[in-house]
Amino acid sequence: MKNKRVLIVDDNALNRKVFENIIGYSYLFDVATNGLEAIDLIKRAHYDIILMDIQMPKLDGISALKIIKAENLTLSPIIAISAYSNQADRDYFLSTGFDDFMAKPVRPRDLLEAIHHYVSKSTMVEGNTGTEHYSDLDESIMEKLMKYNTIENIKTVYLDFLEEAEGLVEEIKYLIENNTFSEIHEKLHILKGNSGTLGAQKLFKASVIFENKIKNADFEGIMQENLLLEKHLIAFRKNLEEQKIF
Amino acid sequence: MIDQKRVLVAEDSSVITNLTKNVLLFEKFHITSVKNGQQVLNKLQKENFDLILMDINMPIMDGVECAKAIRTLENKEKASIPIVAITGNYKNYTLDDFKKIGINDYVQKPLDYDLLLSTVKKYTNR
Repeated sequence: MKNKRVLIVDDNALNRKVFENIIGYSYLFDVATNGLEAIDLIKRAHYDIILMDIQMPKLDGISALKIIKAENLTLSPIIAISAYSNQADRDYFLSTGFDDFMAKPVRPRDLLEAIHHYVSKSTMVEGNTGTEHYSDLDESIMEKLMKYNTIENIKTVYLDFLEEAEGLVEEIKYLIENNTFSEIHEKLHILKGNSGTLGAQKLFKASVIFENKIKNADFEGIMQENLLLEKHLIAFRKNLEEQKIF
Repeated sequence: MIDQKRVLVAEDSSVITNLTKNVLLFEKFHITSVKNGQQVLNKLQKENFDLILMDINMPIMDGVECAKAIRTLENKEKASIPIVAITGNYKNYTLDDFKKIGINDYVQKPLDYDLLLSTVKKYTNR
């Protein structure tokens, strides 16, 4: 789990130390001392979970959460941590959009269990697993891209990719039908590189196999290979649409 | 003002160009993009760059042809601009092959943007 990042947001240095001690063995973490600092960090890096104090100077936890949601800064779970702890407080926090609430003082075990719960959930494949359904998106690659890109950018890139890929598969089909095999490899090459870069695993693997066939001038059954690409592409589009950001 | 490094990205796929642009902009590089080797040469006539990121498989003029042409330019400064290939390596080039052509380094597709960024930084002294 050492590859997961937690953002600790609390204005009290002692509280931060406590959190750091609990979390530090199992997770990477950064700290912020108020909402403004937290937002700044979230804009610059990806966190798998954010622990947010409520009462803080400069920008409190609820206001920070509102900005994070309004500007779509992250999709990761944000947990409110506060000394206000009766049922009404809890309901109120959840109604503002926090994913969960924990009362201070936080018991180390509860905190770790909660983090583990949310972090492992976020790495699980989203959506239900119907019969013809499989996940093709390597989410760790998408997360990595988020380090350098806003969500809007990522969205644009993936949608561009889909459009380009669908065009390529269409062109390959046309080339096969016209027996102009020599031009197929260039199209496949683009498809292979881009699907790999964006984490479309099945599409990537299928284009590698297809490309090798073309390289070896083995043109038998390549229409089937192309149909397979088409099938993976449709599944990948579906996959993306199930992602929260789309 | 910090001296902004200028990177020319030559890549025929808009997907890779967009992503690469975003990553490099994030690190405050100045980016110009073109779609084939011929356009690289045209750009070089008018402008100067600190680094060229060059796809190998491109239409009209591919990355290998383009790199060779750059290395024979009369303008010594432009002839020695670092070139980093970005490649799915369809033709199985080795780093040695690339170096003989005049390409300084390469980053494999599928692209790892951490690696791409550190390679760009290495050749632009940042």
